[in-house]
Amino acid sequence: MAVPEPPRRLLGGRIPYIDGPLKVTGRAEYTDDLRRPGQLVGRILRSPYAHARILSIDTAAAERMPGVHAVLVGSDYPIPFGVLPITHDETALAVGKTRYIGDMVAAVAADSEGTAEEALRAIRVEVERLPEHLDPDAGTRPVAEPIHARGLNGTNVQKEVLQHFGDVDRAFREAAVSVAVHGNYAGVTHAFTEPLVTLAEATPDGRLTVWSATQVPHYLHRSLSEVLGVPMHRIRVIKPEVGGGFGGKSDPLPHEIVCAALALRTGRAVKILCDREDVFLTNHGRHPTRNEVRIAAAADGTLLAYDIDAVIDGGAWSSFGVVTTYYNGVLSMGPYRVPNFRYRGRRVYTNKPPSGAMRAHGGTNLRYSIEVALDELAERLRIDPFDLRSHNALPPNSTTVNGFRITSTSFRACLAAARERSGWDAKFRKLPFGRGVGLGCGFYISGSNSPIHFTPKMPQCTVHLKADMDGGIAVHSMQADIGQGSNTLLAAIVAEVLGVDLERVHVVRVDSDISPVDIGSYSSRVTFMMGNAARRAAEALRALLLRAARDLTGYPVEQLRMGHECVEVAHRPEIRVGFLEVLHKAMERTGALQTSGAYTSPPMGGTHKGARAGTAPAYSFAAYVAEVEVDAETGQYRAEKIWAAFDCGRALNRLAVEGQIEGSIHMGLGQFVGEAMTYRGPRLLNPSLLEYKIPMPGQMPEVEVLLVGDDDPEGPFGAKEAGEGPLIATLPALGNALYDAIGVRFLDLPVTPEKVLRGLDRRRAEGRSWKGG
Amino acid sequence: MDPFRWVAPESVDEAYRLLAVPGAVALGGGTDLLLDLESGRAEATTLVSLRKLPLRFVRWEGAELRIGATAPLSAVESVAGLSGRIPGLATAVRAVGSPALRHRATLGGNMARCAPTSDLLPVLIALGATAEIGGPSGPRATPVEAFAEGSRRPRLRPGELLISVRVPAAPSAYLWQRVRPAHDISQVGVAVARGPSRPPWTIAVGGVLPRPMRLGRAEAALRSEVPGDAEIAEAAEVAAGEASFGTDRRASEAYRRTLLRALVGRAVRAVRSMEVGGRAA
Amino acid sequence: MPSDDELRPERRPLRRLRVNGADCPVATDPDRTLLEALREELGLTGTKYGCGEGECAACVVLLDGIAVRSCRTKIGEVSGRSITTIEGLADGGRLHPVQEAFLEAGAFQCGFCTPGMILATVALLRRDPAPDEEGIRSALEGHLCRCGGYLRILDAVRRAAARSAPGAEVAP
Repeated sequence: MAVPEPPRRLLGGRIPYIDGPLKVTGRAEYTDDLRRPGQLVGRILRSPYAHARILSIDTAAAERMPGVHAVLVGSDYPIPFGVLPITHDETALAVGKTRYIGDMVAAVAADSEGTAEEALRAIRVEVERLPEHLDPDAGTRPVAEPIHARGLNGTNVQKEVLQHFGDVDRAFREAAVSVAVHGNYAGVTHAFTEPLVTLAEATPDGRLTVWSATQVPHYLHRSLSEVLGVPMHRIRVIKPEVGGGFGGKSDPLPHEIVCAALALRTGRAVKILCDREDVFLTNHGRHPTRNEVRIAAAADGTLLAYDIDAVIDGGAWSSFGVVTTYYNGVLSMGPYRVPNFRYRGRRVYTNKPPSGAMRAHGGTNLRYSIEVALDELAERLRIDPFDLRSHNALPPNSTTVNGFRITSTSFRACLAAARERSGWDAKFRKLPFGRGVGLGCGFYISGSNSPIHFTPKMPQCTVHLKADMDGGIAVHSMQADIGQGSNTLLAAIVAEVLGVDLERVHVVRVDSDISPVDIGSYSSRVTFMMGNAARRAAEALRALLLRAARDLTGYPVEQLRMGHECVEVAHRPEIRVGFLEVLHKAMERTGALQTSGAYTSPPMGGTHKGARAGTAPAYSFAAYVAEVEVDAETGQYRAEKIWAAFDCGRALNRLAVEGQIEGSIHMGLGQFVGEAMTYRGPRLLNPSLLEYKIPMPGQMPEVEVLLVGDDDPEGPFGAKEAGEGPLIATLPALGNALYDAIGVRFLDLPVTPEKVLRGLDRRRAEGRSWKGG
Repeated sequence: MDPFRWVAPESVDEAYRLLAVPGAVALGGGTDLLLDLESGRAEATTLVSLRKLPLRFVRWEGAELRIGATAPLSAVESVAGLSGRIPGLATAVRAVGSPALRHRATLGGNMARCAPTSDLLPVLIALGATAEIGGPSGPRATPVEAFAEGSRRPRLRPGELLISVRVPAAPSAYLWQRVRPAHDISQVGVAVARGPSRPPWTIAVGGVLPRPMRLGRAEAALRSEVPGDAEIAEAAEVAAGEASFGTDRRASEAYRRTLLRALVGRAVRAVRSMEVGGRAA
Repeated sequence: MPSDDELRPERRPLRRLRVNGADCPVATDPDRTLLEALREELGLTGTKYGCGEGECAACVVLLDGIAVRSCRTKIGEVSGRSITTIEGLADGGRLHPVQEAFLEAGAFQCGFCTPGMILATVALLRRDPAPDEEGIRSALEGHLCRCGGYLRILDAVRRAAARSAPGAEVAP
């Protein structure tokens, strides 16, 4: 007979962020707050040319300057790196060519900012300008001087993906109705508030310590080792508090490697703090994308086929590009059953700042086109948009045509909740002209099944616990809290399993010398994977404690369980031994207790090329309704409210989950209403927080979060991700709400008021009336 | 930014002397100028900080509000009775930047920067405000309309300094549009005023080239003291044709024109409903 | 009378700042920013560099009780005036009521904008102990939170305002 579990004390409730007291007092330590003795200032010279061959770099004058300690150029550290092992095409500093305005060309370490800046000005770079490649559509043609030698067949295509499941052409021939939309999406960027910053120190014991604003310390660790030629065990990577990442701190970035190289060269500590313009130029934000989505359906609304084509503007480097190229197709495979699927995607190098992974990577732009197409389909078939989606929802425990394993899904419950709470049936097509509601849905991976740096047979993450005389439990993990609250969840899982108060558990700052490898905070993997590993580590510790309690109480382990700060006899809870007493008993002979837990995702996915892309141990689901109000005279509009129904399985910390959803809506709203990386030719025109328009407090809609998930069978305590999926549905909910308000489809993002007016003019010119307006 | 000399005179006469030296630039709150200096868009060898000058006042003088050049915008914003007596100015001041910026930014600084997108110049022009200028050759006064020559170019002679501005109270409105409602730069700003001592209606706009200006033809199209909707629509149409716009990253010329038409109509209707000299309109 | 200093800035004079109630001499050029002096000379790193251009408000401090962006404020303009940073808010071990309100509301994620948000709230409530909704929103305009925590931040400000309003027990 199983011992009855005590009720959960923490998980499932609202757990205050454990780092809160430090954050509200200004005592949380971010990388730029750290300072080492004799620390030098590192500065980087960036290319003013989008595409140019470097003929020579003369650093002699800079090196002679008093106060200058080191000058580096590309040839000093020419080993290429990149986040994906198969596309190492970046170097710490440009080698041979510069590939975008802002490409890093040379670096100095000096006593002061002024001296460093002066030294940069003294560096002479001789270049030969090369033709610039800016249009991704044109990038599919061979050119004399492609941006990278590795482009496909002499073109600038970095990656092409072709996939076909079922028979798409036949499905379209036999369909009762089909719709096609062409989406165009400006690039957007993370714009985290903490700028990129790295501090590195070389010490005489032959070690190198690197503190960096990173969300993936382990990949940084690997890249530093590869490029600098220093074994990983002689490099120590520390992640202080990070002021937001959203994917933008997940690539190993060149300034991090340059900073470490300057430290090695000088034998001292060097800090590189990027200014805001540098942050914009480093980018790695969401890819500018053009896509075409065609959908075929039967007369009753049953989806028959998707045919998707995407051209993705990769900028100067590969970054996560191979993944991006797959995701822009395969992330169409939920939350609906689609029996036939064809996808052609190309990611093209251009002479612009590199694109990379940004929150809801690969799923956002694709999803917008799909959900707008579905809205159109529902209209043509005269089916309510909710009914259309509910009719096609993937059932639990099913497999998609491309081989995704779907376990838990509460998508239908999301739809029902959003429909009811938003008052949809009384509003849709019934509100006056200028006001409208729209539905947008989505799904997202809960942790990539395919770790980027895959070491066969090793887990994706490991958590260590240490309990010692002091009665505290130290938690070691290389997952990266970047503000999302993963440290709080880590501590709460351990405290829950052990029955102790949260304050007994402390999460040790990420430090590669002591933290076991976890591949970091990306692909919305932390709750699921770290959570499982933490649970296992805590259960291993619990087993040691229960054995000790057996010796103390004489009751068999099977009859014991953790009570609040104690071990108790399950059927006679008045018989209990205090936590410290049990711990000290357990430590007899062994000393400090140490346990470990790990997580490896189960095997999954098909056998076709690229089959692993998009596979995940679980998926989140979302159904959002947005209500908007449009000023038809100026085109200005406002999102009034968003009802966000979300399936993250069991929400373990509702405070953090709701925070992630509200934050995702803010970021999705930004991409929809006004954020855009704007270029004139190759030059980024708006590298500042004034001209890059992040929404302000007054633009935030009211948000009603509806958490409707059932427990996931494999997630820790039933949980799935809530960090990225919540962004995706925001955009199509807004787009479809605009359509309901004024009868215009918008497929060119961001949707500025100017575009709203042009859309209205176009509709009126076509002679179509809409709700009397 | 190259190191420059930094001086803080304690009297206006000393300030005139320091400002007469080539390369000297007056510094108010510095919220805009310092960015320009750092980026190299502006140059200065000496910054003459005005912070010790007794020009931070904001006070009513009869039917006028008199604002010292170094009064922070937050002080203007919070002067008693502003939103009742000069509603257009109250709105325009709050449209500038954000609260933290308005604690530093000064009225004189905003005017002297002469930005085509200034939110303050249109309303000051529409209200017929007067700029009071001091300098080595004595004080003079000029309509604010004539004060701005072009972007970053106030009509000031060497050694001259904007001392204060007199703003007549009048029913007035300021409407603007931007990508973000706050902390952003207006694509178009429209100020409308009327009052017993003015031609019945004045209209001034920002976001136009080369500087904020009156729209005389649109004003003339508002013939009545209490115009009807048709007359207002006609004036708005005239205004849209009268102003000259550019296309930039914030908005296209065509969109600015559309916005102007909409905002002129709304602003006039808003002012129409306000009381003048105790008469309900 | 610091005017001698200010007329001969090239000497890198000692300037006296009054920070969190203490006299703090800083050796600096008058055209250095208050942000640099606070972070680099005085080690008060709770004030954050987010953009250096006055656009994010992570660097907001109180100058004579008023919220200003320290990255846009030159040392030459503030000597002798009273500056409060996030480190100066708590009274010994007791958090300021606005800090308490932010904790209760969970009004932060990455925490980088938090010091500026809290100080802007303190300034607001000092000016207007019972702000209305528009007053609360407008006080935070220009403060960027990329984690998107505005709804909770507004909630925290309302909580703090409820306590600072006339008649409430705790005043900030």
